[in-house]
Amino acid sequence: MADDRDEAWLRALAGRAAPDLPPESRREVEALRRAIGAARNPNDSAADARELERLLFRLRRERLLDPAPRSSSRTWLPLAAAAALVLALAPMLRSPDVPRPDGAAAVGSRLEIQIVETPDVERAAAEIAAALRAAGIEPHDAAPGGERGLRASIPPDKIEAARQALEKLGITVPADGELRVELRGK
Amino acid sequence: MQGENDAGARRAGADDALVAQLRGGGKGRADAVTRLFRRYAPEFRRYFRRHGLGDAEADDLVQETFVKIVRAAESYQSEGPFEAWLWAIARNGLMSHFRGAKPTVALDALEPGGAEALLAGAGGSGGDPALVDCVRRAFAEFAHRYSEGAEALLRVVLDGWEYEELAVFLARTPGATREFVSQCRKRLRAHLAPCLEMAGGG
Repeated sequence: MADDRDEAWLRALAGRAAPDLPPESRREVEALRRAIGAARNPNDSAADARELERLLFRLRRERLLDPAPRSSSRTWLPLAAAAALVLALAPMLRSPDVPRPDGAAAVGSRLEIQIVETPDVERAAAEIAAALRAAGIEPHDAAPGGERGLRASIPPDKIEAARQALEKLGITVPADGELRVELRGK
Repeated sequence: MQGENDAGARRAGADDALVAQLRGGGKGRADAVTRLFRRYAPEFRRYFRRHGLGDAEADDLVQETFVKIVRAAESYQSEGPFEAWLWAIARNGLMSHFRGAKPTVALDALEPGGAEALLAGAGGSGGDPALVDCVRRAFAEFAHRYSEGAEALLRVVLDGWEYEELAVFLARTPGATREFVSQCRKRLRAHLAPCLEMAGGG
């Protein structure tokens, strides 16, 4: 059963004044605080910086660092998020290998180009490429519109592995396996 | 007491500002995430490592924890202690991890290596070195048997937590938290008794 002595003990353990704590408990608390207080290990600042960059990259990819909508109504949030996603994944009609759709011969192929905005384009490209390679897929450099980019044709049997590898980076694998990513500096 | 109250009020004000930044999105949110990550990520990683996760698993769970923090910032109730709310998200993530990956492992089953790591580096902070070393070992044994209690007491010593924060972290009622602390104290005292006797006071 908890009592006032426990409360005084906890306060003393937290480093606060506990004048009513008995001497034997005080000695116990002091020894504990000395032993535990030195348990803060030094941080690995380089690893922490890498992990922070990874986190911020993912948050950007998931649109979690976009400015919040000004509307005070939460019911608008899903709509805003959906709109952002549509813009990010806007299907673009491109067909570099066939005639432009300017006549009867026009045939388009739908390619989803995912746009990544990042302060470090090369690092982001390297992370995406490494994730693809980990899933057994060799990416290729691409430069849509002169920007840095990656493309990969993911076979059906590797789509799930690619999805899992890229999910952490906020990259979506298209159902047809034709991945196109454009990287833009912020 | 007044000084403690002032410090608490300052901390609450800083927490409110951080929460507002998290909710605001954009650069303010990125700045808030950066500050929180630098402050808590190493602690969260050690917490996960103490519970048997490998380095990569612990890093991934830290990432997940912060994504959840960002997503949940809207639902944070400012009358509760912010730091304990952050730790509660980390603890929930750890329990979810165990449910998904290690359903037979309970939080009270701290890995032996984790128990040793709990107080790695402790012992050089003054006082009787033999006593401190004995207490360090006794606490590691306690942590091995009662990992959740040890985690709670670590937060008390390192972050100055009291019942309110512990209740949020442990997801218990205030009354259950008081009983939890009381039981922790009794169990810990049994582990510490030989050390205190050795020091000549027991």
